[in-house]
Amino acid sequence: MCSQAGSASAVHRAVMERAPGSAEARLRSGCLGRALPPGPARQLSWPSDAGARTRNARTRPEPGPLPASSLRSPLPPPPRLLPVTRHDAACVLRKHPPLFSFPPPRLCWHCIPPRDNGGRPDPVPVRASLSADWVRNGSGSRGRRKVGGASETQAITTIPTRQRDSRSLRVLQFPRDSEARERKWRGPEGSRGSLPLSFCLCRDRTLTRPPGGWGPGVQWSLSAAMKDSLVLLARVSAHPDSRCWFLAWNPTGTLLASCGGDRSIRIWGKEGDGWVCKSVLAEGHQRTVRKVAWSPCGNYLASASFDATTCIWKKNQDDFECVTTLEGHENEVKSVAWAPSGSLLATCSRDKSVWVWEVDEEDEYECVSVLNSHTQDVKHVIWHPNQELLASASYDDTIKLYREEEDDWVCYATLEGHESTVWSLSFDPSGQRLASCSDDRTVRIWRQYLPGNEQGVVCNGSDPTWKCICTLSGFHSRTVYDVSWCHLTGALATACGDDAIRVFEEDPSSDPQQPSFSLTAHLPQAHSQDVNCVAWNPKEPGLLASCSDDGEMAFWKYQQPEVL
Amino acid sequence: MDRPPDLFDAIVMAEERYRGEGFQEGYAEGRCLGLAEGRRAGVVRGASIGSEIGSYRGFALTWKCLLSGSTSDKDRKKAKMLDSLLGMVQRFPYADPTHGELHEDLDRIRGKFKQVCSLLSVQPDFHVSPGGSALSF
Repeated sequence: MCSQAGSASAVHRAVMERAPGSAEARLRSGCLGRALPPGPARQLSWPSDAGARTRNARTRPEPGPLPASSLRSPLPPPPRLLPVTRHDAACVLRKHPPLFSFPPPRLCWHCIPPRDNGGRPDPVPVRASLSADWVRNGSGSRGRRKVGGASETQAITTIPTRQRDSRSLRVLQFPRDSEARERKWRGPEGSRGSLPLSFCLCRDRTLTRPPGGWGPGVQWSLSAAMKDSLVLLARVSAHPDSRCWFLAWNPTGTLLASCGGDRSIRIWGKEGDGWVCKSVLAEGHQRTVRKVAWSPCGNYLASASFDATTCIWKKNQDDFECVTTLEGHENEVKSVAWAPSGSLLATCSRDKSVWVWEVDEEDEYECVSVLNSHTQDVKHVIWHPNQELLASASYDDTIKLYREEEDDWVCYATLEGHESTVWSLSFDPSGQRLASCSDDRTVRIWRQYLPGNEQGVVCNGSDPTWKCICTLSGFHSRTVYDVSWCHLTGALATACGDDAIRVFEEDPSSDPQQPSFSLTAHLPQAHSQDVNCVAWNPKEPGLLASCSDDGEMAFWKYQQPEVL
Repeated sequence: MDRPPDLFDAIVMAEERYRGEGFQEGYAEGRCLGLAEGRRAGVVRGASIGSEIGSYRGFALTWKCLLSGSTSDKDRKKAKMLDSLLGMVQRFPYADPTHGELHEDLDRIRGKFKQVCSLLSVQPDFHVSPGGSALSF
């Protein structure tokens, strides 16, 4: 209220300063000659999860009719609050999300929507098994429900697992033809807002029954199925006694560059079964090196540092030499990225700007544009894999996309949806979709819609529109710091502040306009502290590198679980 | 029909009447004060924006002069950038403080100025207002 400055509100403000709310209400009623109801405009949005839940419910269409009571919180409406400005309560909540949530998660799964079988014979008998990971051990419940024809029954069982932080619901269904069916599922009415997750668990037709058969408390669960999907290959102390911030594979996948809080960049190569440090690039930066990026040719390495500079390193055989230092940002440079052509470089900084640099034949770097579109710290920049399009993620909760226009760069799209800082971005192999991860503990998938698309998504002029087509929520219990989309296998890996690494895969049977992703690997204690970065090797499918605040980096072999 | 005012009306409505009068008086006074305050704020802010834009113009014109003798490819590029900065300064809506894109324009000019500085490899030793362009409360 007070924030709407202007001369007309001077009186209003004076009143607000002098008199508490009731006196002000009296004054207003006097002015209009009758008592006003307490102004609804004065009510602030309640900074709790209730809002998040309804928002989420809107972003994903429900697969079937659900009783309204299951969607709404039984809580009484939040108490009226005096207006708070953007910078206090909401910010505190955002920066320090509560460790536990209120109300506690409750289950409601008596509302499984029936599915249209598309003319095929009714699958009989159908058995569904459901595992709600956050259900406390032993608190499983059973349900029996007729679905469709009289012959179809479902047994629902909760399978308690030990991983309480991966909140997910899984449904197993075994129709007569042993063909996996998927079913959209509304997740538990959790505190973070739940989403329907659909699962198709049985890809391998030979699996019919878990050993010992089905029943309540069957210990065949998500964790068992995913046990061997992510195997540790090696663990290396990359930046001892400091943080390891970021990893970058060179284009041929033979070298890995790491950077960290010890102001150095290290280049790693594989020798035998282990990974050895080939060189250390220690001179060059006065402060933390936040990100590194290889040029598409693999001969140059760019490093972004908190000392407000970006260094370009040139590779001579096994050695690296700093050839240029790019200055211009006012403070910490947060990220750097090389365009696929190799002739453009983008950097972003805490000074809220994104800079685009052009490289000429003589290795001279020239600033082409300074983009001030973000209103806060810019965290990450990446280029589109095959077009000259730039994407940036920021503390202002948005993602912006830029393209070149008449000698200058312009922001042509703003992707809004995340409820907190967007930390990282990753394009899929085709560049049609973009994954973003955020402090709001979700991963979002955005899809590009060109003008004149069949789906009827409205575009502004000739610019494509980006629309959020999937939100992965409920999987991560803390900030998601990095997301990486494997360009070979299509798997999506995330690095999370809860020390875990997770891998998701798109369900092949899901609608491309509304894809659903399944968690296929979850390693709860991948590192001893926050995981900062995950990076898929560009040539070797399934080789994943990760690094963490504990200064270590780890190499993982990912294999899609057979059953999932 | 003109009836004499109800005696009790005057008493019953007294509170409301006085409140209304009080409001009118307070409103008038507050309006005066607010106008004066707003004017002062506008003058200060306008002056700072004006001097910032003016300094960019002076900077650009000086560098254009310095570069005018040279014909090398690089210098021509620099001159072109300076021209585009000057163009933006000229198009800036000075006369209309309520212009919707004023702050976007100012941000663009600042960005262009930074780019020009980087091209000319000069470090701007004066700082633009620390609060950024967006109005903050």
